[in-house]
Amino acid sequence: MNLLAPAGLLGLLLLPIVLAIHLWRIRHRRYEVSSTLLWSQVLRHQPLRRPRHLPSRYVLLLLQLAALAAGALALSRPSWVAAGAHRHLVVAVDTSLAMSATDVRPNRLDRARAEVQALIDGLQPGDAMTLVDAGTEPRYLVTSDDKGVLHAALAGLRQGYGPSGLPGLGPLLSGVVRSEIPAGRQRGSVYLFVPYATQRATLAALAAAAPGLQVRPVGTNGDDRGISGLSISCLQTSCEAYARLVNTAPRAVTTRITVSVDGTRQAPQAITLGPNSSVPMGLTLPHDVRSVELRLDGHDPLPADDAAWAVAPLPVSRTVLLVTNDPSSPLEQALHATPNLHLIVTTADAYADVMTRKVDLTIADATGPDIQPPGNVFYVDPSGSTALFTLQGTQVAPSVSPESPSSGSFDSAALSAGEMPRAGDLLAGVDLSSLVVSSASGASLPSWAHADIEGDSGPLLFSGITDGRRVAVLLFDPRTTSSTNASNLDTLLAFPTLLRNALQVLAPPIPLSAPAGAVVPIAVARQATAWIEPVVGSGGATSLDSSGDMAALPPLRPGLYAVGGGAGDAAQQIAANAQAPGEASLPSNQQPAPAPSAPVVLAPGAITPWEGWAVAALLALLILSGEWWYYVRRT
Amino acid sequence: MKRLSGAGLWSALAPRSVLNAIGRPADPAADDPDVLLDGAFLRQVESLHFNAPRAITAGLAGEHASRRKAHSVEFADHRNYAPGDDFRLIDWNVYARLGELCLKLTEARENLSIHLLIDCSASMDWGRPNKLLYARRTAAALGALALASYDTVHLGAFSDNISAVFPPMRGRAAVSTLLGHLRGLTPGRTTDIAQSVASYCERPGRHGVAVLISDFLVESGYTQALSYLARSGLQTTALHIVDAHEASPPMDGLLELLDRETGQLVKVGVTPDLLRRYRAHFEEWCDTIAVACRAQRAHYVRVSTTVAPRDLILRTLRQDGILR
Repeated sequence: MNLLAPAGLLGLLLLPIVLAIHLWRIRHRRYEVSSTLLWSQVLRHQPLRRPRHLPSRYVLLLLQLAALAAGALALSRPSWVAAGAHRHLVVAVDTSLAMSATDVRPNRLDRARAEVQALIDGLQPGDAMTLVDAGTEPRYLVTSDDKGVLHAALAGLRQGYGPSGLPGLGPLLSGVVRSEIPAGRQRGSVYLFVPYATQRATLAALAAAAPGLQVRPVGTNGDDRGISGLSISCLQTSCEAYARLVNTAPRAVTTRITVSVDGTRQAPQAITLGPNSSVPMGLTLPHDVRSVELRLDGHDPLPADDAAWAVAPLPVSRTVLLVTNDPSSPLEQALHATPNLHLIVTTADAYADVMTRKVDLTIADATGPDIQPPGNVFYVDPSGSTALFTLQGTQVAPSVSPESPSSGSFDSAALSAGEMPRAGDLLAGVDLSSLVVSSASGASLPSWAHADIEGDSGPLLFSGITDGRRVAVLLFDPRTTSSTNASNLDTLLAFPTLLRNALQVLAPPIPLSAPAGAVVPIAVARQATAWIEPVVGSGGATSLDSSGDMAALPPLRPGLYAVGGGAGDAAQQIAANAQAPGEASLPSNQQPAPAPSAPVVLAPGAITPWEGWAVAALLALLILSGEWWYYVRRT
Repeated sequence: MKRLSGAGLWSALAPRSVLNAIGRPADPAADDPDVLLDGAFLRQVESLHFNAPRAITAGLAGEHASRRKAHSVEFADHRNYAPGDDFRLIDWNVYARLGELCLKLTEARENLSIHLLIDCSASMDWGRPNKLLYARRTAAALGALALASYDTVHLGAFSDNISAVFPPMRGRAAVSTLLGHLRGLTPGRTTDIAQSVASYCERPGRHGVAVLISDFLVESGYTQALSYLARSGLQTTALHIVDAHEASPPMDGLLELLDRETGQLVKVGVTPDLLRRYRAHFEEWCDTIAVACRAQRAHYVRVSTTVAPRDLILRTLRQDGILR
């Protein structure tokens, strides 16, 4: 049994009131008689005792309470649905960039949200729904039969500005259908709200993953022209911006493009995009450019990709703390030669953890177990175990085998976006063919790390991220003059390169761009206050949640932002675009538009529950009538 | 004066206040304490008389037959002439027929004293209709019929003692006085029927018929009261006024019974069994009073207030031989 109007049960609050009235009347019930003479005489033979039968007043009370309860039950509209008749709906809503199109008002996502709200409102008691966010990164939201929970989850759907994640939705949808709709137990339906003109192949693959999938295309127009990529690269004397303009309409489109360099708007230029075309575009910029904005004029259904921003790469300033007892340490010499680096040198005895505040990287050179700096750290030939790793024995004359080709190069953008450094990132451009290591400390590879240089009896260099900290450990000394674990690394050209890579990997800068609408982790200077503020438009600075070494960029609307607290505790600009720079196209809009799908019946086969309010009301009426009859008969 | 037309001669004789009290052809069972009699009922009771034994008639001339023989038109008997008899009493028709001298004896018509004793205790001021109001209406009817018979009506009220004794009333014109006295009766407190009746009987001239109107809700004393009345030479009729809820109380559950007279509270858990026992006890109690009445050669009439005074006077008391 379900109650369609549970608030009706509030009527039960009258029960104690009626009971209290009866008890009050019973307690004060006094009856005047002409004389108690005869009663006293009778009671001499039959002492006072409480009546064992139910007095009529109690009968009336019970009848009144029963009538009241039945009335409250009627108000709460009890209903019954036959067993097994409940439905379970799985509803997936695409929240990617294409759903921000305004070819339907107010936009596709809100239209889809309204239709899902209708689905939720159409749920009958006992029905349940699972909501899935089928955005750029599909995720399960909630399963509930509570309409309030479902509405709240639906309201929490945020517009994404990334590419469609429908190709990766299949496994999630399949798993949800298998777990939430057991075969033969409930009647299930799977709805998928996708942008208009979604690829047929993608939908077919999803239909195979979730049998019975009912696709609900949202939108009326798949045409779009926009900027799918914008980036800046600088040489010594000049910079260039590269952009890609996309037109998904089956006809040529002429539009005006406006370029703003460091906020200065240039004269607009007209450009014609062929049907279903992707046109590269290059712009020559001054060498001291900081940012550039591209904006397409005119109207199209998807305005989110009509503008793009890019930030020119600038030298990154870093602060490094070197803890060493060697006054002529090759590390210190190499770091001094690194541009845009503020080096702080201290000895192990003078070291204190507080010195790591606003330091991007701490390099512990041949220190013991008592030196365990917080934050990002690079251990060079540690002499003892720390909380992060354990030293075991000594590797004598190990043979060196780099984990990745020395010619490899790491993706600095990926690193700065918080990704785990890959094996070999530290060795990008590092030639270790001439490296000779006399001995090295032995260590088992921690679970959080990967080996960058593998010896024949264990790792010689390993790195990784643990608890948000970026850590690298070199198990031999780069100095040839060292008494133990000596090597010829400081004599090789690979040494400064390895050190530069370590700075890049272990103290990455804030990225120049971030995908709009996504949460992006960024590395920040230790214990620095990270913040973000839009460069253009309204809005003040907002503090970012930070764990000390990492901070999270909130989902951003497309635009240009200033971010502070990064490497060197400096501020820099970051571009948030609907499409990440380098994205070649909008997959969901590049293909010819398929024929519109048949309209989906949103609430097929709705179960009409049997409502028992009339029976309850009739019961209340009968009880009241009985109570009246009993009262009249007794009085 | 249409509403007074039924009162006949009474309407012409009685003052307006009395007419207001007796003249309304309204339902006398109504709770208006000022309405004690209505005109139609009064005409009906005019033809009734107390059925009194000859031994208790008084000396004044009246309409009740007496043991004494006197000059009148009512033939009683013949007896042989004896020397010294009044020649005027000789029945010459008998002498002509039989040749013997016989005296024609006639019956004297004498007056009867009616003593109306009303219990005005607080227990009488209870019930629906009110028992005291019922008693006053009954007394008004009995007094009126007595006055119509040129009997002398004595009215007394009592509760814990005799509270009021009014001067004797005689003649039809005294009806207004009687009704006035009855209207003025107010409820008293507790009941001491023995003391009250004893006080009443101590006064001289107490003979005739006594009508004791009471609910007899006393622990004891009614036997003594009846004895006092009997020893005073009064032929007593006890009208036991009973409310229907006294005989069968509509009670249920836990109650605090408040005594109308004493204010005493009695807690009782009323069950059907207790109600049965109460009703049985009530009947035993009524029977006890009836037995006490019979022991004192008094009439006992149990009167329920559900019976209209009209039915009580015109039917019940006549059937019981108290009225004729």
